[in-house]
Amino acid sequence: MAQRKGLTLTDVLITVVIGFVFAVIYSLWGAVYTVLQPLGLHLNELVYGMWFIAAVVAYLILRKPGVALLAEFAAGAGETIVTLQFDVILIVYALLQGLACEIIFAAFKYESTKMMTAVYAGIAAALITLPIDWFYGYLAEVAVWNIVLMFSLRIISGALIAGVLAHLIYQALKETGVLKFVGRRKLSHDEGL
Amino acid sequence: MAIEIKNLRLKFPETDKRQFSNLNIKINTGEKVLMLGPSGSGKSTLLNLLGGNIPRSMDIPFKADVLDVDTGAAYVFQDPDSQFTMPTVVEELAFILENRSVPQGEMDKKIQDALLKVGLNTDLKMPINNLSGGMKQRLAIASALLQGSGTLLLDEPTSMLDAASVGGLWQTLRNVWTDKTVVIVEHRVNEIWDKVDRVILMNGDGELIMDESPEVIMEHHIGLLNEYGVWHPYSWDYAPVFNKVEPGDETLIEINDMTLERGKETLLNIDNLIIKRGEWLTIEGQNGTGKTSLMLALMKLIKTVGNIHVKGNKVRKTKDIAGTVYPVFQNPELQFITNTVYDEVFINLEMHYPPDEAHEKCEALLRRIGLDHVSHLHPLEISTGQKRRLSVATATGGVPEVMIFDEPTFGLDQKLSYELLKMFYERVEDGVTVIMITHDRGITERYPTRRLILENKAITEVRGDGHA
Amino acid sequence: MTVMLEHIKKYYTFVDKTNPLTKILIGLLLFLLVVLMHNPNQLFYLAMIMLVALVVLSGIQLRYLLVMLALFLVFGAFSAMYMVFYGAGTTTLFRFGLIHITEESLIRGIHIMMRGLTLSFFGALVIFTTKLTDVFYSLMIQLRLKPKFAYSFMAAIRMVPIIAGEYMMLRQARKVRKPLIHKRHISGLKGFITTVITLLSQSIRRAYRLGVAMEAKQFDDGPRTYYYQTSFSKYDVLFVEMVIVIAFVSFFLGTEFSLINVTDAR
Repeated sequence: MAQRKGLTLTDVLITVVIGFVFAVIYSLWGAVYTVLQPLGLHLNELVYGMWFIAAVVAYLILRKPGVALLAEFAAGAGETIVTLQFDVILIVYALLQGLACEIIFAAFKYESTKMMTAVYAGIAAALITLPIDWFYGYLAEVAVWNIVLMFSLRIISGALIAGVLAHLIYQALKETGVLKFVGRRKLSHDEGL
Repeated sequence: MAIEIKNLRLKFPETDKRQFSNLNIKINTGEKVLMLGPSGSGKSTLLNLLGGNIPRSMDIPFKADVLDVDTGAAYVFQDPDSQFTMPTVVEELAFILENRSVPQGEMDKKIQDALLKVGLNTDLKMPINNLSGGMKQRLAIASALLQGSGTLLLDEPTSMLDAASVGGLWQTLRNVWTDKTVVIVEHRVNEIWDKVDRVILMNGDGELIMDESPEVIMEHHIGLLNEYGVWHPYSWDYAPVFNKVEPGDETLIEINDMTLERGKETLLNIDNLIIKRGEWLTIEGQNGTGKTSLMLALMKLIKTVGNIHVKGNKVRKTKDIAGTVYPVFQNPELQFITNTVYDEVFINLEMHYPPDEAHEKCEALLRRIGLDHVSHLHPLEISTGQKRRLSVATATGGVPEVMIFDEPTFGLDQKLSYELLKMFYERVEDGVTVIMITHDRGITERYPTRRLILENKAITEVRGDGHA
Repeated sequence: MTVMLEHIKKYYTFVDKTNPLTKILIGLLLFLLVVLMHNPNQLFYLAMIMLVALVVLSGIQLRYLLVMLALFLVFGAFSAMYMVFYGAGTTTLFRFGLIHITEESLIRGIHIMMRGLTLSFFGALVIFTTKLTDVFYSLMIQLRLKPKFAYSFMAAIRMVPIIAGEYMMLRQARKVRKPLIHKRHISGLKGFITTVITLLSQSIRRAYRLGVAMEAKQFDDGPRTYYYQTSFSKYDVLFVEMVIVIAFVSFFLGTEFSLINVTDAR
């Protein structure tokens, strides 16, 4: 029963499938990201936010603890399956980005579906992997303007894509009527039966 | 086990009207019951209650004075894509046994037995995605058997199969259902009408209005079945009758030396095929003979060898003929792009008329196809029948000269199917060429001016009964 | 998944028999190793040995591996561009506007690229030797993962080709409809959102129906038996030993047989 607290089988299935739909999109998106890389000007960072949109969309749909983390992990794992590349970094990043979103949503007690909540989550996910990038990519050794550019672009992207765009998708999805049966609902049973 | 529900009240969330109020039903052990009703009658919802899907997995508010249902009942659903969990045949069947905590050592034997019973002769490690529709449904029956339940609930198990597989599937079901309680929801009932003990008819308001043996219904209540628009064995005697059609002389499409391939195998060879203005064509053939591929090839949506000329011009790209030739896909959902039913039609009309006139025409068209009361809803939210009609309407505006429909009556009840046929006939009368991919004999034997039969990698042409 | 690989796989090795969890764990440790390895010489040998391990132990046709290697090299080169062009350094090799390539930044760029390659080679070895269902059975049996998660993933994997197929059909459907309507309805951000909405809404419906079907088949999150038995074996020990040896050999070779006179890429 969807009444039960925690995630039901259907919740988990829906979350994972949302993650996989985005995995297909991520795989196509990877081409855009790669094309923007060669200049080295971090233009690719502008589309970076796409990589944690799954967490935000899945949360907005189901509004339950754990959904953001699970969706993002599924998207990362799904990408591994779609592109046939097992990428440890990708999985670690996905988990961290999902976790960042999860923390923001927990702060809002898993109730808010406001656009700003999504934007905060997007920014948090954009920030959380910077320390790893720092060590992995020797960022301390790069021109300062270049790093500032990279960080700013990434934060803007997180806010716009994982925040605003994710919210637009949620709004549009709500109109299709598919969300009537899923996710956390207020106790409105009996309804005069 | 016997099933009984008394004074059932059920209401879907976010709706105003109850689906059921005071519904009573009793099904005895071992009985075979067929449930009929127009779309919206709630037969599938009732089936979900009988096996405990509501409230186990579906959160729908309801109350009942008595609710003796079989929560261990086995289901066969219509859509194979959403009833299997695992990648391969053997893993899917093992999944059922794992759920029942059957020791691993006993699994293989049980799986072999079940496959034998349903006549599914395939490699155990075969990916389910590679099976044909009929084989997938046999697999679903095998899983139902392994569940070891005394109750079998069938939710349109044959509605996605071609005519050739339907008979075999019902035969398989009858072989295994002898000692079980069986409740069936199905559109096409020819094959089982005289094999069930009772037929229950529901109306659009979710009320049981008849509960009789099939013989009694056939003798006394056919009128009622027609009134509610449900299929029955003599449905086609009541089908709409149209004037014979005299196709025009102008050649719209000519195909020469075309070869369709799937992988490295040749699917279909066409030496020469000419399609004229105002024809009503049907394309028949078993699953996998290339019916849909032919449609895609004609639209240049897949690569093929050969030449296509439309109105004398060679077709190189989809763009060359889009608007002139318009295909309606089997999944109408994929063709929609706006947020409301209204906009879905309007965006076509706005290209051809000034705004005021476009709005006027849009409203008129929606009324004509019976979608005016849902015009504010999202195209993905309306029923299958409504989606089908809407997808036909997405072709309007620039009025295409050829329309191709892939299985348009698939999964529709009698009433909606007949309405669609009337729409097609009106188009043909207006001089549009209508091409239908269908495996419904009721249609192919009555309406087309010409039948194209796909067999042995070639097309056989037969003059149709609809020809003047 | 494996069925798809079968026609390019020529033989099986002990890595195929290694528990998936071992491979994933080693993958994580390898990630730490390459982040902490700053000597380009050592990393070069590590990447090379990993490539040899991939070629020998995956059992995949060489032709196929070469295509993959080419892709890895291109992607790897792209991902290191920012460092090559804008990295700090004193020995200038090339300067054009903002771009300033130095010997140090070039070496650092190549180092970053080799990190990616090492992990890609190992990742490919894992992909080619692991059956997906085994991963989830191992997670359930050895790590006590709740079945609802494992089976949801396996079921969702079945849906990937269905989602991809739906996407292809959606594109075809739009191609046909496009000429009949104004392009603002179908292009740009709007086109992207409606595409995502359609795919998501179809998939959510399907997932919901599947959830109902699975529970109707008496699936619950409680105790169950397993069709596949996964366990740890001597092959896992062998695999761990192999990776340790690879690490030490590359340390040794990188120290004793340096190719370039730089020991720290930083």
